[in-house]
This record gives sequence, structure tokens and C-alpha cells, in this order.
Amino acid sequence: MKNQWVQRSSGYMTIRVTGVSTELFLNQCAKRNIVIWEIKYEEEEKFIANVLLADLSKLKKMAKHLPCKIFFIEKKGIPFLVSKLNQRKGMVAGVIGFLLFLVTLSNMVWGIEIDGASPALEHKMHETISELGIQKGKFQYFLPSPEEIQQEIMNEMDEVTWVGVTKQGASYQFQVVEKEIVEEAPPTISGHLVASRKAVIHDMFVEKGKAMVKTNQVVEKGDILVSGLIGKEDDQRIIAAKGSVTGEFWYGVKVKVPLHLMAESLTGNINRKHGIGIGEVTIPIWGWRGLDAEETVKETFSIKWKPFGVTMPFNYKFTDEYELKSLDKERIKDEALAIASEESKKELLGKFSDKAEVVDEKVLHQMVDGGKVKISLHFRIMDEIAVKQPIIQGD
Amino acid sequence: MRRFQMWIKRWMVDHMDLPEDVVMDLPRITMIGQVHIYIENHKGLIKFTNNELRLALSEGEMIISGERFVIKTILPEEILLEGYIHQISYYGKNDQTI
Repeated sequence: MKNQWVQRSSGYMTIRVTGVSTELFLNQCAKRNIVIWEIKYEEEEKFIANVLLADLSKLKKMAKHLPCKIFFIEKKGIPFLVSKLNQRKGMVAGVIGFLLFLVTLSNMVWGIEIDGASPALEHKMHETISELGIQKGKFQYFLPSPEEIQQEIMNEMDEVTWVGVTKQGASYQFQVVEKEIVEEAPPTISGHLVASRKAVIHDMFVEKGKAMVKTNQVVEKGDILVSGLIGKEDDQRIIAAKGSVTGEFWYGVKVKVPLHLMAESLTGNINRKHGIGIGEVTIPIWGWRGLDAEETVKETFSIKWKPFGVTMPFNYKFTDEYELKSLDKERIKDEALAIASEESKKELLGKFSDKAEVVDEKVLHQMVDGGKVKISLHFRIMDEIAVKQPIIQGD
Repeated sequence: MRRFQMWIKRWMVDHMDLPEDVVMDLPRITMIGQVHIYIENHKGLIKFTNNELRLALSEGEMIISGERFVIKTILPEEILLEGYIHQISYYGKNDQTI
């Protein structure tokens, strides 16, 4: 049997025929070349059959000569489907529109991610990429392939050792390996190591050069600690002295700490007031009761609406109120002292190198005067004292 | 004359290996189990009900009886019947000649 689905998809109907015998009707159909199928006998002179839409006129002509009645039960196939969809144009348009929308949007660039670049380089990368045309909302059809982009970026940017470009769906990902610019170590200048300040040598370690001092020796500022001249007197060579010399020295500090300190802190109670501001006037909408606090800090934010670039005459405002609590602390002397020594230590160490440490501290004098504690402190500090001094030749 | 024609056809089938349905204008019936029956070279429908199909043939007629009959396709010379077939029988004027 031939499969006639192509023919049938061009539209067919299920009909119920009454008033004529099946045999007569079918023989007539055969004579007139009307394609008829799926004939089901229901009762005497009543049956169901399928006929093609294309044969409708022939069927009508034939029905005139027969004492029959034809009822159309069902209509199937593409022509009927089309006419049905015609009645639902809006829905069809919606479906097509949605599909178009989906296809269009999924072919746009939605994200650009740059990994492994420093903020400055990332910014530059963004610029380079957007010059190549990769911007949010651009169509991917018109963009070069990831390989080309990669090539282009590598050519254009010197700071990049390698860049990997991958496209994941609607977003581009850039894996950047930054070029490490190695700072060249400054060439060693031949010279001595001299004391940077008056100190007692505590410890020394000489890598290169000739040690000129011993531990526990007092050195003045500018004294040579490690000499860069080595060898016998008649065969001296100049090298860059290298080493570390730790010296111990004293430092006196005078600090004033107020005894009575006022401090304020937030308790964590927040109230937010919402309102609409028109010009200078604010109309509260919500939360106008505020806080039951004596002292508060207020922060006001206002958001302006700019639909289509037109600034609206009114804006949305909200005010955050934070409750404040005053800390009224009578600081006792000891506490003041501790604070003083702590603070002065910090300040002191800031003046010296990273290796500096306070070995010992002593309070020499303390005095309360006009609500302030005056303290003089004495510190023993250990720090690197060796400084390079180039040898000037040809004197 | 007609008898002579029949005799010639008969002879051709017997001695020249030609298919009978072509030479002698006989129906070719293909059956698939009890479910389908496909008849080529019929001469028209005589009767069709739920459980009986009568077809005119060049010589006599053919009766197919069964249950739940549906004519799947009908063309001028072909018919495909679906249903539950119990019996096929022939009867006609000169069945003795075949």
C-alpha cells in the first residue's frame, strides 16, 4: 500500500453519509475517481469515511445525483490548521516573536570576563577588546573567532604574555597571563658599610669585606663598620662590602595622654525613614516615628528618577538614623601609661627599619597636669645600622 | 468462441509459466493473518457491512465475512480491508471452469 500522508496532509475530512447504501456510494466514488478511505459501517445506509479536500467539488457533484446526505464531522490537515491559526494571529505572532527574540538575544554578547589581570591591565584589556568590537549587546555573527581575537590581543598588547579566549555561550572569557617585568637588581657599587648613627655594636655578620669593629664597641655616625678595601696594603682591591650590623641605641620620648576621653559609638539601632522629596520639602511615607534616642547620627540618601533622560521634579529619599552612645571613660593613670608606651613604641618603630625592635623600655618620669599625663619614656632599640657608602676613587 | 479463449489462456498458464491473475483476469488476494486482506483486480463492491464484504469479480463474486470491518482504501481495482476475517468464499456462474 502506498503511504498517502503527503496527499492527506493537504487536507481531508471525515464525513458521515446517510440515506444511501455503502456499495452504491463507494462504487460511484470509484467511478468518479474520488479517493475515499477508512470506511466504517455504522448501520444500514449510514457510514463514516474520509475524503480529500481536493475532491470536495467532485463529491458535491456526485451527491446531487444520489439520495444521500453528507455531514462533515472532522477536518484535518494543513489547510484547516492554517485557517485555524489565522483566527489566532496574535498568538502565532507571539510565538514567532518569542522565538525570534530568543534567537536574537542568545546570539548577542552578554558578558566579558577577564581573569588573571591586574586592575590596570584589565581596564586596558577592556579597551582593546571593545576596539575589536566585542562589546555587550553586539551580535556574535559579526565578531571574529576566538582564535583571531587571541591573535589580535597578543599583537596589540605588550604587557600580556599569553591570552586565552574562550566563548561560552553568550559570554567571552579571557585568561590573561601577565608579563612579569623583572626589576633588575641595582648593580652593586663597591664601597664600605658605615654606621648610620651612634650605637653600640650588638651583633655583626660580614658577607664580603673586612670587619673594622667588634661587638660591644661604640661607634659614631659615619664610622666604617665593614671596609670594602681588601687585601694587603700594596695590593688592595675595592669590593662592595656586604653584611649586616645590628646596633643598640637609646631613645627618649615625651608623651602626653589626656585622662578624660570622650568617645562615641553606635549601638546598632537603626531606623530608616522613607520619603519623597519635592524641591526642598520632604514628604515622609514610612518610618517617621524615628528612634527613642538622645543622640543620633543621620545619613540622607536621595535617588533621582531619570526616565528617558528627563529629571523628575521629585525624588525618593531615605534617611538612616543611627543611635549613638557616649563612652565616658575616666582613664586611670596606669591605663594612660600603657597607652602612652604602646603608642610611642609604635611611633618609634615606624621611624626605623623593619627589623627594629624595642629591647627594653623604662618610664623615667610621669606627671599629671591639667587633665593630662605627661610621661617621658626611655627605650632601648636594636636596629640595623649599616649603610652603604661608595668609595670614591682617584682622590 | 469464449470457451476457446478460456482454453487458450488456460494452456498459456500451464505451458508458458505466465501468472494466472494477469492472463486470466483473476483477483489476486493478499492476506496478513486475519487482520488485513488486500484484493486486486476486483470489479466493484456489491455489499459492505460491519461483518460482510461482497466483491464482484470477473467471474462470479467473493464473500468475505468476519467482524469489525473497515475499508482502509478503495480504488477502482484494489481494496484493502481491515478487521477480523473469519471466512472467504467464492461463488459464481462457472466456478467449475477454474
